Amino acid sequence: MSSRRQSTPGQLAEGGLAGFGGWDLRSAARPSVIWRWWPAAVVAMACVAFFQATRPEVVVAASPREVEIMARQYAYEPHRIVVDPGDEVHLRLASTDVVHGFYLEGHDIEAEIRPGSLTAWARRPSTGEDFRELEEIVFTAGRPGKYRYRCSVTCGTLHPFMQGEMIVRPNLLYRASLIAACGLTLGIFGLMMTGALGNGVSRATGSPPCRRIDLLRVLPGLRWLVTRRWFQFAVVLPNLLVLFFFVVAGFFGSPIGNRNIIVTIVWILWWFLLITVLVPAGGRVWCMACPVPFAGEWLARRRLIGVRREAERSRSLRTGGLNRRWPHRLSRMWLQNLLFLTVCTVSTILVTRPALTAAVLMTMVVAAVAMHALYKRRSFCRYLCPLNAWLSVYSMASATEIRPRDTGLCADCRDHSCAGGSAEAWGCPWMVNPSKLDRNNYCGLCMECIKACPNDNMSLHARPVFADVSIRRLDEAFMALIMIALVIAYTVTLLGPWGTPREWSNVTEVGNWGGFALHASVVWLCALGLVPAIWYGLSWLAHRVAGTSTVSVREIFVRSTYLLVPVGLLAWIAFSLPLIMLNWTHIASSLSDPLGWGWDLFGTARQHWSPLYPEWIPSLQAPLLLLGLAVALVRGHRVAQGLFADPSAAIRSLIPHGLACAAITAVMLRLFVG
Amino acid sequence: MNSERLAAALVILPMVAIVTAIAWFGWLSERVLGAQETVVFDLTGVASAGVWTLGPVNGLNYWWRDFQPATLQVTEGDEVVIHLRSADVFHRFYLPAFEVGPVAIEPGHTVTVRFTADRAGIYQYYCTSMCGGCHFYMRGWIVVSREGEDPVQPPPIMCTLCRPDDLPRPTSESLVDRGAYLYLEKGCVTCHGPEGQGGIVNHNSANSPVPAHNTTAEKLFLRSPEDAEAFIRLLDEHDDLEALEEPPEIGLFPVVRTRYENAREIVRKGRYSSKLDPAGPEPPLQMPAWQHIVRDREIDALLVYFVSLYPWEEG
Repeated sequence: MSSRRQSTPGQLAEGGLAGFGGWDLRSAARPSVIWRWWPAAVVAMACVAFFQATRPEVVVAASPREVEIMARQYAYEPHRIVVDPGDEVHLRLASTDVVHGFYLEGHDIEAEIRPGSLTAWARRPSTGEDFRELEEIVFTAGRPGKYRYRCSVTCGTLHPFMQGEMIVRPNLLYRASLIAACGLTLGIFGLMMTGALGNGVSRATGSPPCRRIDLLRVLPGLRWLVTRRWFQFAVVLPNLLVLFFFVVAGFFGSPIGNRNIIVTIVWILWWFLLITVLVPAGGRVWCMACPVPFAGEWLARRRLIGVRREAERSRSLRTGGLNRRWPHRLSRMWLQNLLFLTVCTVSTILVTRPALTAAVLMTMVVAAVAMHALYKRRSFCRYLCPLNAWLSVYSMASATEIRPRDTGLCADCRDHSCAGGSAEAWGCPWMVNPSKLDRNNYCGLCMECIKACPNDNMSLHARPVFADVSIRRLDEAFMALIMIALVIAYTVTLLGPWGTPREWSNVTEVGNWGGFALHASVVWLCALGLVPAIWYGLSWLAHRVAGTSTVSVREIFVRSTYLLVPVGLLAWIAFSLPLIMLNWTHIASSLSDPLGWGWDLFGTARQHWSPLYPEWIPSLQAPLLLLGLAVALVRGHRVAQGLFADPSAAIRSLIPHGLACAAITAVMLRLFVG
Repeated sequence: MNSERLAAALVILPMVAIVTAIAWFGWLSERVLGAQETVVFDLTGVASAGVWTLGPVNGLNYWWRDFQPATLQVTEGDEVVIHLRSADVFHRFYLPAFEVGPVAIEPGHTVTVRFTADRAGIYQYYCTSMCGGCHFYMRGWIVVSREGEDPVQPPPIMCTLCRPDDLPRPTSESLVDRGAYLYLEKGCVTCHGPEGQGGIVNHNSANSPVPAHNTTAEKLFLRSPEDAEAFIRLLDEHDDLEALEEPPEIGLFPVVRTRYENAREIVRKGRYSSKLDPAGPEPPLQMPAWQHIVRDREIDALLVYFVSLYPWEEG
């Protein structure tokens, strides 16, 4: 921030007058000739992408196509088949280990493959008929697009991820969305150059001025609710009981992931809701409802609802426990970044084993108790919870925020109850100063500051999404980069057609520790080395292109990672969408039979696996990814404007990272749609 | 303070209620209505250990997978109820002696079967859906003893695969050694008997017991130990008998070759074992088609191993 350019109004005006719509190369400090030709480079890249997208795909065989697919845990061989629309496909299926299923999206085919048999048992699932023994399955390839074939019989731990893909060429959606990505990039850069995207930015905070709605004023009922002392308890309690039930189910219920409620609800439903609803709408609203620190906080506060009486006498608001300060060295998110990466490295095992999920959740509860006994307030959440790091960065996208209504009032305030506590409320458990909140990152939405403020100056606001645009620290920047590396890694291992990465990551079953080491080191090297290195290289390039030396490369590196928040969040949403569309029947059946003991509470336990419009998944994922790219570029423009006073330098500085976001989008499009 | 007590009660009481409800519902769903002498078993199929095991398989103990195959001890005339579950993949439970099954056991579902143990004896129950490497070991005993008799304790059928000490790696690369290893590893031994001696009963099968393999040399028309050894050497060196440039010094080699090809085809394509009594149950042991599971060269290894088993000394 210190290195932000000191601009004079005169300079701005000059830049605005000289070029078309504020575009002026002369105002830059002499970029070399090469950098002046950047639009040509953009067009060239777009052309390459276009020809790549329209390149004819390899021919496999003439119609009628004879295809033999071998199933094994947890992949099909071949993992990709390419056919033409209207082709008559003759399909033979075989299994090499256990009974597998075969469900071809969009073609109404479901089969059971038995090892040691030369026939398959097939049916049309839409008719609900019984399986019939067939030597080969004959079908006609449908409309162009990408269709996955996936296992429909529980075949082991990674069963829900066993899949292959059939391309009916030409894959129009893939091509169209690649072209759209190029068009979006060019179009948004064009709009920036003409000044249509606006140049107004609050230089003080780096946030764009935008309309906010004071929710507590508009909705008096909500205000009443969040100012009740029992509010947070009431929100946490159901989650706490659910967590308790899940842990019991995880340990004592069925060891099969998709038949145990802890896996179906936590890793399918909760994750889906968190990434698609809670984070975009409420930021860290999960932290408000999270049951993990409940026991620790109870122990430390010795109150579930009230504020301790001692608080009235001494303003220090001492809670139980030692109340130590968390070591300053560890107060950045590096530890959490590493913990998060560790959890993600073993996540293939974690999300498919109920007992391991239960053990990890219990470990977090125990760690929270220990942290509350030793350290101040919510040190566990701030400094140890592996989720904190990414929630912190992605909460910047959310449509709500807690902020002071009038910062002037806070500046004159001598009370500081919001940070220190009062008889009505605890001081901010998250150890931030609510009166100075200007972004969502570390606000857990516990509503204590709203209760505490004697001037009723704190409120919950609704705002446009992706309104905070300031990543300020290197650890936050790394989190944004890690999330990008991880979404690619997850998509490859869990949603990809390839069996080998899945096998490597599933080490406790397969026992291939060499493969696991390779998998882990690739994930770690990409997340902490390769992706940041590329981003740093692009930042250096941005520095050169911008042509001014007022902003350091490091500053550009840190700030520009904000572009990865929309790209990453939307990619994660695109990743999570199939989880729920494919596996919703597992949720339904485990609600009736939470422990996999053969109960049937609501009559849904025997629900046959049937995915929800699976052939539409790519058509939903492509727009999501494109939306992420568009938001990244538009918000990236704000970030750049916050860094560079000169509008044209700002736009130029955005080119490398903007193109990188387009490239990431293209990679994700290839994985999801291509 | 009242609100604090209420809140604490709201935390603790539902937790107790949850545990109670789980235990109660668990008991309720296990309850079997029947006569006094009803015997109830809980059998869970565990593919990774190759057993049907008694007792609960849950997230905690599944991690270590130390499960024992269950021997079901009942008395003649008992009404037997078995709750069947799977701990991992798709299984099929079959007890042909009492015409129970084959019944599909889907993961996460409980299937209850019942029958009357009306004949004393020792019978086998099986998994008849290939469920992984240990599948062929996945069978156990049901012992029906007469009132007052001491029940027999047959040795449990343990999976050799899961106890690596019992499954030594082949000592050499020779086909015979590899065949001997594969014979155990692929589970052939469970149906064709130790060292191919046969004698394994296949309930209601027209060709029970399951064919022995120590007579393969004879079936291939290899009439002397020298011929057999020459044949083993030949296959060790060539994997395609059709491509031989000059015929080896084995008597009636064209016949041997044709028979050998036929034998290979049986392993590759499998063979259906028909019923002895058409009205009776399906024979539990069926030769699967191995062509997608073992490579052609591995089939060579197995067949060569069978040839080497022929007891020439006994004439």
